[in-house]
Amino acid sequence: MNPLLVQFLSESRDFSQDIGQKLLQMEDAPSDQGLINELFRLVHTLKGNSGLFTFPEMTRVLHAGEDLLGMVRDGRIAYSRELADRLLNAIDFVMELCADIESTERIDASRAKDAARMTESLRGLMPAVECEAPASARINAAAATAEEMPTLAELPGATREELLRHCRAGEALNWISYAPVHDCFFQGDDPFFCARQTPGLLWGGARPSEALPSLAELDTYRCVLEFHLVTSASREELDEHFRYVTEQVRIVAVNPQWLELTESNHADPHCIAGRSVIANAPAQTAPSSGAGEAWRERTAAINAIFAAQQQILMLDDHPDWRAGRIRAVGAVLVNLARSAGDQVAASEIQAALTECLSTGRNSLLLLWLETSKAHLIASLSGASAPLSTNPAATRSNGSEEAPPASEVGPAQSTPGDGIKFGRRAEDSSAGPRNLKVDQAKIDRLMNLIGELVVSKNALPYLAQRAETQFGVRELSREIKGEYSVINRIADEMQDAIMQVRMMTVSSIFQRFPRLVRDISRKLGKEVQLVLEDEQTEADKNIIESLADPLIHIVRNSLDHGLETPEIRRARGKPETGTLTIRAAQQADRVVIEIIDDGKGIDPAVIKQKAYEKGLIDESTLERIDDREAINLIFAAGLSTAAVISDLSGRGVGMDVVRSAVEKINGTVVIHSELGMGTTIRISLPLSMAVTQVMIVESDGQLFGIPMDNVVETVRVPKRELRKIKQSLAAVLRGRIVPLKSLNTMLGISATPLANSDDELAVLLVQAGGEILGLLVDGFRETIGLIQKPLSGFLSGLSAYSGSALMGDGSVLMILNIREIV
Amino acid sequence: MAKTILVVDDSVTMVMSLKSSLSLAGFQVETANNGQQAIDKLKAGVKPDLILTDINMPVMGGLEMIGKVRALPGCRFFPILTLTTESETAKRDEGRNLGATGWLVKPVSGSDLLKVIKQILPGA
Repeated sequence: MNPLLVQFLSESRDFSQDIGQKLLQMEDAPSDQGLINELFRLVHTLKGNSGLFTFPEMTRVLHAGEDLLGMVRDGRIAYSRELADRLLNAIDFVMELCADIESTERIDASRAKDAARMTESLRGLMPAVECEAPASARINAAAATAEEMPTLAELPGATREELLRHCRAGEALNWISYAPVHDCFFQGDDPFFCARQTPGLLWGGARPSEALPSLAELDTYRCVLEFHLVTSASREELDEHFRYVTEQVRIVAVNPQWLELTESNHADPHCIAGRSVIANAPAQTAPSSGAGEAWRERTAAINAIFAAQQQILMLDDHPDWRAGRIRAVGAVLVNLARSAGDQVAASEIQAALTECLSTGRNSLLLLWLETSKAHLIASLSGASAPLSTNPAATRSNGSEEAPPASEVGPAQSTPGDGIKFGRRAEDSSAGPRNLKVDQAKIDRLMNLIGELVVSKNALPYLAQRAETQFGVRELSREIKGEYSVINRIADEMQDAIMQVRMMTVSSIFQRFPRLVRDISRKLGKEVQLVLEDEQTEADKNIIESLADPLIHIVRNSLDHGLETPEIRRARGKPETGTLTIRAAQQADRVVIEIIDDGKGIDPAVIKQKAYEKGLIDESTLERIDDREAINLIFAAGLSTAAVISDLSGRGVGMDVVRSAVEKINGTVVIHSELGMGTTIRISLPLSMAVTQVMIVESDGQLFGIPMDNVVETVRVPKRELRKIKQSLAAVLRGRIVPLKSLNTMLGISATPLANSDDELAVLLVQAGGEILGLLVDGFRETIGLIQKPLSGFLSGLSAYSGSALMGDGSVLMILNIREIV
Repeated sequence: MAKTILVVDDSVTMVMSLKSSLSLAGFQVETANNGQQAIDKLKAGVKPDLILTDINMPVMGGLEMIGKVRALPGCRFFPILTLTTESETAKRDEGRNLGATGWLVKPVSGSDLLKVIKQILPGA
C-alpha cells in the first residue's frame, strides 16, 4: 500500500479515537470552549487529510461534521446529546470506511448511500438557512473614470508605440497600479519580485509613492514604492497573480486611445529619469524608430543612478552615517558592474569599497566614480540585460550585499532576546521525537533478544565442559569472562527493547468512556466514569491481554453492580453512580482497580449458589468467611448473572476473567461490601516476555519456579520440623510456615533429601496471598528464560505453566505454583 | 543551493504529502508538528526560505506562530504561506495582517503548490 495511505489510515484512526473521547468529555463540560476548539480542529484536520485522496464519502461526512462543530463553536447551535450521538455515529462510520480502505484500498460504492444518510443526519441539526460567508473582497474592477485614467501619457514614446502595436494586433492590455502597503516587507511580500513576475509583462516601472525623505530619515524597511505595469495577461490571470494583495492593486483595461501619441502628452524626460524601468521588453525585442530614443532613456537613467551615487558619497551632514553610505553605494556599483557583466570593474569597486570602509573615507570610491564610470555606463547602455537593481528602498533579491543591512540589522537591534543563532544547532535534535514503528518489527526484535538470552545461557555449560571434559582451565575461564560481557549486554538490550514495548494503559482505558456511556444509557443508569493514572505503562502484550477481562469487569459492574437512579435515591446514595478505573505501578507489577459504588455482592447468596451448584461442600459452606465466599465468584460454573442480579443476559462468568488474567501471570482479587460497592483488583507483571525462574532439584529432576512466587530460600535443620495435625510446619522468622514436599505434590514417591548437615532445603513461595514452604532437594541458579506455553497433548497439565529451553539444550518444566498448592 | 521550506502541520499525513511534493521539486524540507516546534526549530538555527503552515494546530496554532516568527530576529522577511480550507477566508486575512504572505487552499495539489511557491519565492 502507498505509504501515504498507510499513514493516513493510522492517523485517521488516532484522530477518530480522539474525537470520540472528546465528544464524551463534552457531555460533562458542554461549554468548554477549549474542548470544542480541539474537537473542531481534529475533525477539520481529518477532513483536510481525506481531501488528499479521493474518498468523497469520507470527506463529505467529515465536512458536515466540521460545519456542525463550527456552529457549536460559534455558539450558533447548542451542544446536545443528540448531536453527540450523531457525531459519534459519523465517526464510527469514518472508522468503518478506514477499515474498508485498509482491506481493499478503496471505499465500496455501496457506502455512498450511508454517507449521504450520515451527512443528512448531521446537516439536519443545522439551522435551515445558512448563508455562505461573503466572498472575499474582489479586486477593484470598477471601470476607469476620467480622473482615474492611468497615466499612460507618462510612458516614453517608444514604449507607447510598442504597446500600441500590441493593441492593434488584437491583444487586450491591462494597466496595473500596484501600491504595496508600507510595511509589506513584514508580511514576507517582495513587491519588486511580484511585479516582475507579472504574467505577460510588457512594460513596468516603479516610482516613489510619496516624497522620499532625506537619507537620514529613510526607513529601509518601509516600502514607499508603487509599480505601474502594462501586461497582455488576462484579467483572470492577473487576479490570480495578485490574489494575496488584492487591496493594493488596481487593474484597468487599457484603452488603445490612451496610448496614441499626441504633441501634448509627449514624454517628459525628467519624469523618466525619476522612474526605474523594471521591464522593457519592447525596446529590445523590436528595433524600431523608437530604438534610439530607448537608448537615450536608458543612458539618462544610468547617468542619473551614477549621479545619485556621487551625491550620496558627497553628503556630509552626519559623519556616523558615512560607513553606511559607503556600503550602500558600493553595493549599487557592484551590482551595476555585475549587471553589465564587467567582473573587472566589480572587483575594482569591491577593493575600493573595502579600502574605504577600513579608512572611513570615501575618497577611493569617489575617485573610481570619476575616473571609471564612463566605461561602465557605456557597457550598461549597450547591455541587453534589464537592470536588476533598484536604488530605492526595495528589498534586493538574491543580492549578496543587501543582507548585511536587512538581516543583521534587526538581530543586532534586539540583543535582549538572547537568541543565539546558529550556536544551538544541537537543540534541533531536542524535544520529543516519536517514531511510529510497525508492531511486527518490535515483535521480531523481541523474539531475537529472546533467542539471544537463551543461547547465551549455553556459554557457562561450554565453559564447564572445557574444564571438566577437555581439562583446559584457561579456556574455561576465558569463556566465562566473555560470557559475563555478553550477559551484561544482552540484559541491557533486553531491557531497552522492553522499554520500547511499553505502552500506557490509556490505550485500553480510552475505550471505556464510550462503552460506559452506551451501556449505561441502554440500562437507564446514570454513571460517572473516572479514569485515573492512564499514563501507567506496561508491556504491550500485557496491556493487550488485559483489554478483554477489563471490558468484562466493567460490563458486570454496570450491569449488576451499579443500581438504577431510583434505587440509588431510595437507598440514600447520589443518583449518579461512580465507576473508577485506576491504574498504578507497584514495584514490578501493574495494578488495575475497578471500583464501583454499587450494591456490592452478598456473600450469603454466593455461598448458597455455590453450594447448590456443588462447587463447595457443606463443611466448606459452614467454614468459609465472607471474603472467601465473595472470591467464589471466580469459580468456574458459577453464573454471576443468576446470582448477583436479576437482570438477564449479559453477565460474563468471572472465571473467564480470572483465567485470562492468570494466563499472563496476573492475579485478581475482589473486595465487596454489601450496599457500598465492589472493588476488583487486578495485578499483572510489567512484562511477560522473559520470566526469571529459580531452578530447584527434586528427586534428580530440575524444575523451574517463577521468581514472582519465590519469597526466600532457607535451610531448615530436620530437628526443627514440627508436625501440626497431619502436616509439617516450621517456625521461620517468628511465624509458623506450613511445609510441603514438592515430590508429594507432583506425585513422586521419593522423600526430600537432606544435606550433610542434616538440613532440608526449603523454598518459601507465595501463592494466593499465603506463604508456603516447599521441601526440595537443592537449589540451583536463577535464570531468565522465555517461557513457552505447553501445547497439544501436554496443555492439559495444569501443574506446569510452561516449558523453556535451557542453555545446554535440555527442557525445563516451569511449575504453576498456584495450581499445585 | 536548494531552498529550505519549513512545513508546519499537526497532521503527519499532510506533512508527509507536502514533504514528498516539495522534496521531489528539489527543496530542502524541514517539518514541525505545531507552531511551538516550528519556533523551536527557528531558534535552533533552521533558516527557512519559506514557511508553509496549517492554521489549526494544538499547542500553538498557525496564526499565533506567525506573529511569533515575525518577532524573531532574522525571520521578518521570508514569505509565510498559510494552509487554509475553502471556508476559512477570515483566517487568510487575519494571517495576512499578522505577517503571512499568502495562503493555499487545502487540499493542495503538487503543481499548485509549486506554482505558488515559484511565484512568491525569488530564485525558486
